[in-house]
Amino acid sequence: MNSAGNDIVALTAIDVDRTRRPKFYSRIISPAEQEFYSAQLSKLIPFEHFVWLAWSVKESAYKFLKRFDPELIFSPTKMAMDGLNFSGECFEGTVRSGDHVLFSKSFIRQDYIFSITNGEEDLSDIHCAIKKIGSSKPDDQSRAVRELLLRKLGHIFPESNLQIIKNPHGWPVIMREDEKLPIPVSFTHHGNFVAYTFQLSSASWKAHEEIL
Amino acid sequence: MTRQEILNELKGVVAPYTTNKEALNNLSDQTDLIADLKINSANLVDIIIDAEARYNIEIDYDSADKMLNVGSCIDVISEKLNQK
Repeated sequence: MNSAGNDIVALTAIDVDRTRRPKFYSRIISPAEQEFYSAQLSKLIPFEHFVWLAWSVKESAYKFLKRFDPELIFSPTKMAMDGLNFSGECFEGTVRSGDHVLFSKSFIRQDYIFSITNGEEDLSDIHCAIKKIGSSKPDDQSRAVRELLLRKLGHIFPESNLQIIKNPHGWPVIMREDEKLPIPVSFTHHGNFVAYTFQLSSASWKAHEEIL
Repeated sequence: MTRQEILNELKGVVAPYTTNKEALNNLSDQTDLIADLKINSANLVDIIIDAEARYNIEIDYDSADKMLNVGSCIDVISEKLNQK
């Protein structure tokens, strides 16, 4: 499946006390996921980080799947994280939504949690970048993440006039002149953080380089 | 409560999570919480919980999933108030 999904949670923008209340976290994680945390992860990360990690994994999976089903509704407790392994650098696992199984990778840093998902276990074709900006206003976030992506794409497609537009369903589309580039991209922002993710295989990258 | 009364209360519920005051002052059934009010999706659970407290209702998970724009929020809140 050719798509992109990501999500960032600014840890400075979350309400830790509220996150720890059952009324709140039970709308994000299932009882099975709570048990998994207690048994496997409670010595590694605080509970509020787990809750927002689950949120970011599920939200990124939702964004990934919404391209195939624009009517899809985000319903965190109907998505299930099956296991989550800590590699020393990041958390890797799978997330189920209906009949779909996606692969996730999440990073917990001092100020944020960032997740990406993909339909295949190999995430080497996924490109992403995260930036801390000086504003948390939606317009500034939107502008900053687009600039960040265009700067990256400028290296891949030099001398191209690239633009980012929104399609009717709300996800970003990369345009080169009048041509829609077949590169799925996902944006995310929260608090002072913005990030992009796009999928581009090295093979298609070379093909584009040849066209250019 | 009438739909207008629910709407007036709803303004207070969503206000802490939006910086788009113009959209907040011009709420209609079609106003989308994320696209129009620019509410971060990470705050959607906050809005559900705040709405439960404000209207003294319980919003089940399936109903909460529908609360994506002002009209659907009012529909759900109205339904839950009528069930009390």
